[in-house]
Amino acid sequence: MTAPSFEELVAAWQTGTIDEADLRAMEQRLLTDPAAQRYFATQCRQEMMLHQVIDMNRHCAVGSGTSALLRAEGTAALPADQHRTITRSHRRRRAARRRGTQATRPVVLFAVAAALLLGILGWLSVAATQRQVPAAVPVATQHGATQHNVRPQPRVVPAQAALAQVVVGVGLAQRGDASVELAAGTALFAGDVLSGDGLVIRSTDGSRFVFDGVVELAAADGLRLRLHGLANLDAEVSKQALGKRVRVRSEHGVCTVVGTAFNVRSWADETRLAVSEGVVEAAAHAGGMLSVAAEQAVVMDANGARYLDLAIQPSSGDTLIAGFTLYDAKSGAVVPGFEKLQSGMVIDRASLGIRSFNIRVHAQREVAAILAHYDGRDRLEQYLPFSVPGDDRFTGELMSWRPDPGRFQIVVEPFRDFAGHHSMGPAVTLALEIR
Amino acid sequence: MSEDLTPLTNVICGESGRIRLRLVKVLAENQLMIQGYAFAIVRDHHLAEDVYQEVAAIVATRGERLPDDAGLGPWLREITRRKSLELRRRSRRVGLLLSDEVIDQMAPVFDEAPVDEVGDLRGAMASCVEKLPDEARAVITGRYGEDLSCEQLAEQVGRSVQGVYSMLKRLRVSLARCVQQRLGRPVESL
Repeated sequence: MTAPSFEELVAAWQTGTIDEADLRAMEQRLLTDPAAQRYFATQCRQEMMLHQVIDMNRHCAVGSGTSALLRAEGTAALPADQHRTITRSHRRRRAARRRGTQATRPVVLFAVAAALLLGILGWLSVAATQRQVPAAVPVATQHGATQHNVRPQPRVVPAQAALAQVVVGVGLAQRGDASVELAAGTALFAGDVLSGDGLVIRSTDGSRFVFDGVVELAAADGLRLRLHGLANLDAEVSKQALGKRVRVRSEHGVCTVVGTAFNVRSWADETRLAVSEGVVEAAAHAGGMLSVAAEQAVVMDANGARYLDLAIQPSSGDTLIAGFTLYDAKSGAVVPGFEKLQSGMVIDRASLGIRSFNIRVHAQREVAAILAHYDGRDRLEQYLPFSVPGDDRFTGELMSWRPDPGRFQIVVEPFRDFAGHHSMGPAVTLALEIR
Repeated sequence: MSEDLTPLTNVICGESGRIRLRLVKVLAENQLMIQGYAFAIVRDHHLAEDVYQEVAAIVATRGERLPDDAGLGPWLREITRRKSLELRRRSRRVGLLLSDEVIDQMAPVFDEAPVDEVGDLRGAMASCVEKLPDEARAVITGRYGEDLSCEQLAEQVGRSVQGVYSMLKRLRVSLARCVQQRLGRPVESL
């Protein structure tokens, strides 16, 4: 029997009849063949277009209502006998799922109990050799999925142990086919792809990472982090054991460290690395490798890697903090006439018809963070766009600020590092009057 | 935003009108990219539409803070990816789904397609569907409008499951050709 063609594999995937082996074969083609990728993308787009056209036709035939409403009524709108067939089918599937769960439950419970017992024995044997092992470490499969019903090894295999743990924040991890909700204390494994906004994780060697975006974890002679697309990562890497390195990979290059503090910020066109402590090695995919010491920064892009000259700094922060813009926090829109806020301006809330503000701080790319002092408060803004009093980094919703009438000041200080340790110059002050 | 629209919209609607026009344009130009990529991740038409709605809501709240043209594609893809994975997780869809590695690698490919007016494409597809014979149209409608499985479709049209499966496959190819011809483009194949 001949192997199915790629078109046949895609057709089976579209109709939901593909099996595991064929899915893997299709994926293999997608990973290696650009023509197959284009074909697949076209098929996906066509699927959606076809669905919309048919849905629209049905909608027109039914009469009034939205397509979303029609969707909600999809099953009920079918002829009665067909409805019953589908309902029965769903019931059968649910029943089969329940049976499957009930049948496997004792086996799973037994396996978990056995795994725990063997795990304790394994822990005791390792403890006896004076090696510290994290308690109750789940065993990860080849694909990264946590598997509790396998027989644990009497000794801990490093590649299967947790690489890190979530310290603060919430997010999502893709682990093989499964999705895992992230919260403080969640163990992280090689292969996990983490999505988070301001998620803080700590690796087993004590290194601390704060990131915004999507980051994939791996282990090979040390922890590896791969930034997917636009991402922001702040790292404080503990001193690594001999032969170990922490590597951070982006679309433009790789940063290798043995123990330091640094920030990597990845845009579509370039990746910037700023080092606060120690030394980081930056290798651009396009060529060029640079050692970056504390107080230095490099940019990696399609042309390679080069140092950013942070030594040439303006005498004041004026050129680094390029300006301010007033936003209506409720609507998220710029307040007309206040696109370029300047000291001495008067904001009359009644005439403008707005109650709460948000002030955008425009800064140059060299600025990794700003510290804003206002209303007796300090706020460190580490993510773009910088604003006072800040915004939701994922949805972009602006946080509200309702100052009392009177005169007030916002003092903004630019920093070259993410953590706000290394100032880039004097602060800029914006003085306004609120009525 | 195209240059020719800018002065006009500034005069008529001011800054907010210009921003709104850009939002509409961004969504219209990228609708198929977002939905196609979402479908590749969730493999479900309704879920992919939901992803598009979620992305559209985020785009709308961004206003003028949308990335510039160079950064827009990657940003939209990333939002689409996150939302798709989130909805896929919430809907507890398992099996038959692409791995993260493939999803990642495929992402830029969804950007490569020519930017079409969705209305033109939809019109072309609608007239191609209309030209289908009755039985073929019933199969397509059952599959894409009512989410019927091949088994249910086979029961409905009195064919074997394999027959329906083959028919769907042929119909997809012929509809793709028909749309491409109507838009005056070379037919895509492997």
